Order: sequence, then structure tokens, then C-alpha cells
Amino acid sequence: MVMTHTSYDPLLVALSYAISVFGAFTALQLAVAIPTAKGTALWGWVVGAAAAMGGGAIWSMHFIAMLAFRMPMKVSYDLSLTLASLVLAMLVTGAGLFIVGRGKPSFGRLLGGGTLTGLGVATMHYTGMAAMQMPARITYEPVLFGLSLVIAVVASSAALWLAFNLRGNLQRFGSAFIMGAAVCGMHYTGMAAARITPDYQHPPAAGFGMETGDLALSIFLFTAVLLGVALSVALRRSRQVMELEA
Amino acid sequence: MQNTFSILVSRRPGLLAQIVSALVREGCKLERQAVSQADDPSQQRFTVTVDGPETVVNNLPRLLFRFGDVEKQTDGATAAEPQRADVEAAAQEIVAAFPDVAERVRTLARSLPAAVRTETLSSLGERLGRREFQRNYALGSPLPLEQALRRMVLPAVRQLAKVELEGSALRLPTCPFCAAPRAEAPGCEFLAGFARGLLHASPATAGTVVREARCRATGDPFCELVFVAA
Repeated sequence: MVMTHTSYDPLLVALSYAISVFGAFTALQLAVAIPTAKGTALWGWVVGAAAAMGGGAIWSMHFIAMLAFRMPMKVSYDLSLTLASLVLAMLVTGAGLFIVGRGKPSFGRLLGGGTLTGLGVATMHYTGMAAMQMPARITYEPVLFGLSLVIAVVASSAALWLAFNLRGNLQRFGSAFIMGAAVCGMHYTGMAAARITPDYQHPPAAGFGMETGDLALSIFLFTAVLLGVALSVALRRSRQVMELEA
Repeated sequence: MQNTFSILVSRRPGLLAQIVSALVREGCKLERQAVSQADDPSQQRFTVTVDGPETVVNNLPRLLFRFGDVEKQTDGATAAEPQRADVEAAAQEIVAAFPDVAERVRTLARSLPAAVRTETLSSLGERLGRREFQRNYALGSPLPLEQALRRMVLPAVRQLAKVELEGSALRLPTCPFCAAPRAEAPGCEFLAGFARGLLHASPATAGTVVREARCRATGDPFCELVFVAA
């Protein structure tokens, strides 16, 4: 029988959106340097943007949102799958940002990059769901599952278009809010698609799972340090260029 | 063409790096450089030998004067360039006051001899345009001309004056740099330079030609800048 006694903590839901917007803002501030970067600097911007997007905007948002999800069952997370979800998020979104950022801008590049970035969001989410260790099985309702992918791809494409083609506040902030909506929209639609069925006859394997409290602290520390460093790098670069042009 | 320049500069950290960056950006190759003591202990003499296209090397004194007093040495002889300390001081004030620059630019225009007015105002405008590009418009995919005019040049010039975009032309019904019709020292060169600096800073529009098609100072009803892709 599918579990129905679930709820969300509204404060943590709001925090999950805030963190995804902050992470997306940082990632896109780094990513918009990709078009004109050269040599090793180019890869620095790509890696930084991928880390901020995959780690900050997507991965952290996911686990804070999972903390917001209340259900009458203890949950822990498989460490290796959790780490794999982080790496996958960074790799796939990094590829998406590179495709949109380099070369002559075109609809094809936007669609390709937006699709990859959206799929990066979705890949992280469903890998993160697979990392859940609890006495239950998870299945997904196909229509909502498909909708979650569409939301991720469409909103990511829109955010990337804003970030790379506009200038001013719409570029800086509009793109971050829309990318945050992509990540959160995908996540909560994916959660609506999830059907959690208790299965006490097959308890989860014991071993290297992390408790929720420890995971929460790890997420906050990781995110805060990562995004702080990334933003300071972007600001310092901007100041250096301005000094040369004075 | 090779030439040697000697610049008397203040002992400001990062200044020599700025001079080298400016020379490299113009496409010059630095053959030799040396720093020596000046009579004034607060200053130092930076001597650099550059190699580059003749047109670029001949214009370098005008590029370098903003850093200090420039002396060009050709075939062993020293030719002193006119001191530009007052012009550079005015230029620094204009950069610092951006975007509230109209009155300062008109004042500077009136103080300049006619022979150097156009070039000085145009260079100053380009400098501000490049700076504004780096500050607000450098990040993102390089925009083709049509989008660059709409998303970059128009909002940037709007900080300076009331302006409309008509196709590939900017129209200013009341250009503050001209001040009035038949102004004694019109300043549209500054605005053209500003737009040029913005566009040339981006790789997608680096060769765009910016032309003053009309000017209120010459009796036209409005000022107009026309943009032609390279």
C-alpha cells in the first residue's frame, strides 16, 4: 500500500529554493565568462560553474528538500550513491554550460546545452532518490516523471538563454531565479511522481549509510564554502579587469 | 616599425602593468623595457621599445599620455610630446564622475585646441566605453551588432542622454554634449567614441564602424550615430 502520511516543512522548502537560486546565481556568474575565456582559464570557469551548479544549486537543494520531506519512516543515505549523484550533476551540467557558452550562439547550442543541463538536474535527483535507505520501495508515476524532465529541460534552457544573451539585471538575477525554479520544479514534480510503498520484510542493507542530521551539516558546510569561494573569485576577476580599464 | 618611448610616471603600484597591458592590447611587441630613477623621488622613468604597425606606433604617445609625460626617442634623438597633464587630470575626473559627465566633457571640449579636440574627445569616449563594457556587458555570449545595439549600446548611452534606437542608428533629440545648436565646441565625438569603445571591446563587433551622421551643432534637428558592421 502506497505511503500517504507525508508532508513538507514549508520553511525548509523555502530554504531549498533559496539555496538553488544562490547556487544558480554563483554558477551563472562564473559560466558567463566561458564565451571569451582562453586556455587554462576557460577550464577553470567551466569547472567552477559546474561545481557551483551541480554541487550548490542542484545537489544541496535536493538534500535540503529531502530534509523538508516528512514521512513516518527512518531514512538514511548510501554514501557512494550520494557522492555519485554529486559527480554526475557536476559533469552533466558542466557539459551543458560549455555547449551553450562556446562557439557562435545558436538555437541548436541552446537546445543542446539546456537539455544536458536539465538532464543533469534530473539525473542527480533520481540518483539521489536511489541512494535512500529505508524499509520501502519507490516507483514512479510515468506522466509526472516525464513532466519533471520537461520542466527541468525547458526552465534550464530559458535560464541559460537569459544568462548568455541578455545584459543587466535580467541577465544576472532573472536567470538565477528561473534556474532555481528549474531545479525546484523538477525536484518537487519528481517527488509528486514518487510512490513510496513500505516493505518491512526487506529492510535496507546496513553499512555505510549517513544519518540525516550529519548529512544536513555536511551539506550546509560544503555549500557555504563552495559558493563563497566561487563568488569571491568572480568578484576579484571583475575588479582586476576594471582596474586595467581605468 | 620600432620606436622607443620614455614616460615619466608616478610610483603607483600596478601602473607599469597597466602601461604594458595597454601596449599589448594595441598589438605592439615589447622589445625592451627599463625602469630608472627620476629627479623627483615620487616619480620614475619607464623606457620601453616597442615594435608594431607604423600607424599604431605613431599614435602611441596619445595613448600613453594618460599615464604620464611621454618622450619619444627616434634615431637617438629625443622629441618631447606636449605635456598633457591637465587633459589627463580632466579625463580622470570624467571617468570618476561617469555617468554624470556632460558638463565636464563640454568644459574639456572648450579648452582644447581645434586641432586635437576631435581625437582627444573620441579617445576619451572610447576609454569610457571600454570600461563600461568590462563593468556591465563583458559577461555572456558576444552579441551580434543588432542585439548589441539594443541590449548594450542603447542602455549604456541612455545613462548619458535621452536616446532612441532607429534601426541601426542612435538618435539623440537633445544631445547634452552639443549643449545647443551651433555650439562652439560640439562634443558628439565623445559619444561616438563611447559607442565605439563599447562595441570594439566585444569580439563579435570589434570592427564596427561608428559614424556621426547628423549633429545639432551643425544645424540638424537631432544628433545621429550610424553603425555599420565590419
